[in-house]
Amino acid sequence: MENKTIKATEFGPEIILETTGNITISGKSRMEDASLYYKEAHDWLLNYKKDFNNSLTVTLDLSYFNSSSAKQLLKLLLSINDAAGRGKVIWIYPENNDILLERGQELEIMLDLPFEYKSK
Amino acid sequence: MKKGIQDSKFDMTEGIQLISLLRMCFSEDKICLFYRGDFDDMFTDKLISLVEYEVEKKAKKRIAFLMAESFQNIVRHSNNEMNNQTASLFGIRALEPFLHIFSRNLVNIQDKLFLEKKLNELNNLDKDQLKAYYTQVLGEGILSKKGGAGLGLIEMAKKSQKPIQKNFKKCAGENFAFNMQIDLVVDDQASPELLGDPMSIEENTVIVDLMTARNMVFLYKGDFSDEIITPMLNILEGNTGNPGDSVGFKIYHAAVELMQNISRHGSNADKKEGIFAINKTDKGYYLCTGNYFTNPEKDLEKYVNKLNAMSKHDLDDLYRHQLKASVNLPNNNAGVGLIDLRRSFMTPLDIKLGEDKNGNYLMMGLEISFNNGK
Repeated sequence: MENKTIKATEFGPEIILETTGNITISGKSRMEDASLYYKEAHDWLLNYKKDFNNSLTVTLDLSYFNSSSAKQLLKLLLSINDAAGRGKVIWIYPENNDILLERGQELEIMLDLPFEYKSK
Repeated sequence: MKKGIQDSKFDMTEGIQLISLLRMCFSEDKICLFYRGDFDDMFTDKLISLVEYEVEKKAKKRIAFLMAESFQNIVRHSNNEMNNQTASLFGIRALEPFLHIFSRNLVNIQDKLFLEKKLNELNNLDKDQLKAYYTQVLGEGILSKKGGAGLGLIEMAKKSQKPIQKNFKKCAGENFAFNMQIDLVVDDQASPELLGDPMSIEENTVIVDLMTARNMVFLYKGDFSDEIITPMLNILEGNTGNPGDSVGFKIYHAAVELMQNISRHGSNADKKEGIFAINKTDKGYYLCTGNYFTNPEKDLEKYVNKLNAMSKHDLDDLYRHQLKASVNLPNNNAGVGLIDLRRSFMTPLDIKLGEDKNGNYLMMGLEISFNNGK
């Protein structure tokens, strides 16, 4: 199993998947069909969980995500969530954007994962 | 103006009346975009990239050039003190076989006289005369105090196969609204009948007057796929506040969700067509959309009314419940777009369903106030 990078597009974020257990999603996520965009990341994570037992850290540094992307982010985090104690989320948000902070807090309510918030 | 404007079947709320009217004005347009606001160098690039998706390759270069020149003409012949943020306007309409490029800016009496004389002269020259005149002016290199040598206008006249249309409307004081329209043939194989007289500038002048009076700052009609909405969102991003902060984020978010609502529920799977507009209001902005749809979503109106009656707390609960439930469903749609719009702004979602000769039509709108919601 290898590291994988999905390059950012005009409407999709950069996704870096590392076998060390670090997943970083950064940029904007506003594609209409987010399921297609995130499919590779979901597949990678599925294989990773079979091969590795490492703790996973997901860093989300998004300046925007639409409702279709919210579903994919939740799906991704839920798949980490189902192996209790195996992950954490670092939620990075712009200092002056309370909405993005609250979006992170909302996901935290829906999951059983520790969230760490960092403003930038 | 197009037929049927007086025959609207729709009982519109105030906010979406205008888009209902304009969608009929632009019913034959393949693409239509009007923008009122700040013009910077990036604006032209963004606008050009929008049109590039929609036109034949061979016409792209000419269109890009003419759009850039029209834009520069706004800047060059504008008195900055007179032109506040909403006085200048740029529009394009792809109405086969033409692409019409419309611009408006305020000018003083001296500029009016200069432009009137120059455009009349250019419109009387044939292709070879224009070429010779261009070479002559270029050789003389006489720059006007505005930084141009009239070369831009000559270039426009050279590239446009039709006379440049213009009019001047008296404004307050000694100022004039200078309206200019270039009619570019993008399909020269069209029938001679269609290639005859292009749409009169007066039609667009009336539409633009209406948009200005109702404080509409942005209007787009056309395809709403991801690639196409990107330059539009980039334009909005640069002109409605910083998307990094909460206000800019709110507008950007509403625009994305409303535009994607068009592409998800549009009537044609291949071509996601609709109309999107932004009006400035006393409280903020009013965003609205319109599109045809195939599925008779009879319960949509009821659903939106239900969302409008819910509290923020209940909307948040519903959002989380629905989002979580959607994760295991195979379709791409999370089904939370409308809930999210409603809870993000806490202003009612306006919805109107209607029917005309082309099918079922859905219009949605909401006001983004800077003082409430999140």
